Amino acid sequence: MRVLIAKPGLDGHDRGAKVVAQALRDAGVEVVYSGLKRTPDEIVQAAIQEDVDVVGLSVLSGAHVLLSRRVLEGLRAHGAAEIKVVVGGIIPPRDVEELRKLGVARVFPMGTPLSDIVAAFTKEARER
Amino acid sequence: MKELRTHAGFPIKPLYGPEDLADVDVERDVGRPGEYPFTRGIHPTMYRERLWTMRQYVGFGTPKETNRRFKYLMAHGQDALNVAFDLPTQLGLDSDDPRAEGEVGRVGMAIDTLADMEDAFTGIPLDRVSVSLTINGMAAPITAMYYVVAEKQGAAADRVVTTPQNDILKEFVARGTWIYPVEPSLRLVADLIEFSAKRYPRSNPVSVGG
Repeated sequence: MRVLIAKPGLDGHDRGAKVVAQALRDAGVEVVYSGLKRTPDEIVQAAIQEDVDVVGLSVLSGAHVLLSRRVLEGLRAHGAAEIKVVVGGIIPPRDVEELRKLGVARVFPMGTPLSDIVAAFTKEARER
Repeated sequence: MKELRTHAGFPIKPLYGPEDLADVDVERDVGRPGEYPFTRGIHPTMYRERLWTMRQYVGFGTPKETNRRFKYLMAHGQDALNVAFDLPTQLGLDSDDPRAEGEVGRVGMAIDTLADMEDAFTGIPLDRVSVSLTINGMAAPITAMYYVVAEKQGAAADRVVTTPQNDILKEFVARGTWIYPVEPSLRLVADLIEFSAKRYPRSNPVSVGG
């Protein structure tokens, strides 16, 4: 199982993304980390080139809906719609349904236990 | 007994008593409140005469919308401002830059031009209201804009009180909103401190973020 943990947009808060990346690594998952301030297109290209099962987006700036939409559109446009997308960060409860409708497989709002996140990644990868 | 040290590495005893004060000259080593070395506080009567400045971190959407919010807060007892800028502004990107998509006006107000900065402070007398500018990578240009707005309002330079955060090291250590490498970034920090100290004596041109 291989995943890409990515920071789209201009948000520079990377602690959460790194904590999740380490937890996945400790669970035996191969993790690629994008680094800060990547564009949706850069994330799509990295996901395809690295042949990942799941892309985990981390957004704490409030731009999560638009950035998730752009990543999903990019994956579809490049024939890579089978790559699952999950989103975590400061996600208000009212946006969870909207993200799900866009095609986001799982949303991890604030306070989601790390063990739940790891389990969800594993499940999404297996279902791919 | 286990040896104790402070975070800075100084050895400390488990207990201190009057005998430890034998070599202390109170006037020289402790001083009075409001006097060097400020051991007893930075003001002579601390907060008994005047409370510390209270300002909420505020800014959202356009400068005009933010200006309305500034005025609302000031009408409800706030006597100073702490300004939030959106991420494109903090990173020196125009609002129509493709990388700014989805982020404009989101975590603070969007400033692209001097006219935007004038809109933000319309009707707020910058020779009387102290303003904290929470910005680091773009502290120099944003503070320069602020000084120009104050000047255009007719505020005397020695009446302008502003505190740009201007603490780029915190962006490298924690928050990630830096633009240039460390050394040129620090040069900008120092340039803003030097310029402000010379031209705007009541400014606080750096506020260490932690």
